[in-house]
Amino acid sequence: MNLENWQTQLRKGLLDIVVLNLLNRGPSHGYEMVQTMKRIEGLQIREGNIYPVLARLETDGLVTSYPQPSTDGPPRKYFQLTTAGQKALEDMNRHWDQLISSFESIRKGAGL
Amino acid sequence: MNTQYRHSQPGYLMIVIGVILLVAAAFVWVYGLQPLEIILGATGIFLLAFGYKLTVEIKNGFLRFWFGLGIFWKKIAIEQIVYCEPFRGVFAGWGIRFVWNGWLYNVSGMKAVTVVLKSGKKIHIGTDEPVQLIEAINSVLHGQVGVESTQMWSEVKADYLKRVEQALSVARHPRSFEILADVGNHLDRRFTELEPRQQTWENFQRIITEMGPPSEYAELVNEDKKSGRSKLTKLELGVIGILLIMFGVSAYLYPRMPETIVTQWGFHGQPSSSMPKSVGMFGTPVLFAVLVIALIVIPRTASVSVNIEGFRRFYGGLLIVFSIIMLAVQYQIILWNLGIKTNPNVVGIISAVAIITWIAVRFYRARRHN
Repeated sequence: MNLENWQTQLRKGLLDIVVLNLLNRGPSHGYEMVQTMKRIEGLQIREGNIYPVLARLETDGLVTSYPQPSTDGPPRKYFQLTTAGQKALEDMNRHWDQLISSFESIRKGAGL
Repeated sequence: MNTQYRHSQPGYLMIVIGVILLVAAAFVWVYGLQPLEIILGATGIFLLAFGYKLTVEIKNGFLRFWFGLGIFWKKIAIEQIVYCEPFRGVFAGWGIRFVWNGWLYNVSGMKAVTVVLKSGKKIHIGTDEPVQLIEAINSVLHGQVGVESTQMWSEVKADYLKRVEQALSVARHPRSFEILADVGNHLDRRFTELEPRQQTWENFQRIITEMGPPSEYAELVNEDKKSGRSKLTKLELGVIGILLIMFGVSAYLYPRMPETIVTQWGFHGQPSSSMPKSVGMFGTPVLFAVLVIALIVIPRTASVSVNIEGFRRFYGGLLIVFSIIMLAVQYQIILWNLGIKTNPNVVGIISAVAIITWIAVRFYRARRHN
């Protein structure tokens, strides 16, 4: 098994929930989110990956965007969670907690 | 100073509608249905002269754009521009239109670049290569032209964006254009972080590598592929337009037709079968509608969509061939029954030419891909 491939696929699969959780802390732009994720061990993504994910989330109505003037270049495109996004994030986080709990029980052999 | 950017976007639908109107005008003229042919002809000529293309040019510190032969043009001093960004409005048709926050000028597609002026005014310029136009405006706006490393970076960046664009074109996501613009801005920001001594080919390549392979963009946006596919392409919209015109022509000429009309001819051009005019006049458009619906719906069904994606042009060609044949059949029926004894074999020749041309194009492309 190629461990690197598995890690890459796992990171990609987590992108939606990671991005939504980042935006749950407040509005942010793609570049800033990438820089934040780069600093978190295990979540380093390819920088371009963030944009198709944000576009998809925006199309799904989970996030919305607006331009914000910038002092060092063209306006930045900020993203923020919508009400639907908040609701989806709550569901996703709940499911994630449940998943981790189930996974841990398998790892520890408990309840099987 | 040389021209720094120039690009023309063809207005395909305007051309098709213009030609159809001219053909319709010629047809109406034969029957002396004045003054309809004057209206149709004038509209057709205007559409062709005005809307066959929209050219955007950056030269000598000015951004200029004009429609067709230059009937309408506009000139903006680059220094009056604060910034430009992808047009974020909804589709508002083609031509010159006032959208909610400024004037929109376009001839085709749904892409445009919004230019924000120091006066606060916004101008939306239609283009089929918005990323390149934004790049060109920004280059002049930020005085980057002429720097060797910047040019090298521009090439590296343009190449990457082009590959991303190709990858996204398969996904056909409605926000593909915004993704491209965002990636372009991201790359710009990475570039501005480099010290002049760091602006090397190796570092540029490192940035591109860190952005990730273009194929991943399509993969990550893929969940919405279905919704993207549900949108009609320009070609499909054009064919639907032709279909509506066929119905319109049949409805318009219906009262002038005899109660029974000839719909089939023998090898020597002699009538061999006739039908009630309701069937004869609307049979071809109805048959065409069924074919169009089938060719538009089939590529969108989940079971075949993945394979169909790779054969989109194949299906596009089929739609064009069917359109030509159906138009030829309808006009043969109408002309002959109105008293113009056109040779029905012409329909066969037109159909054969359309099919042979289509097959030849398919073979030509197949060789090129090898």
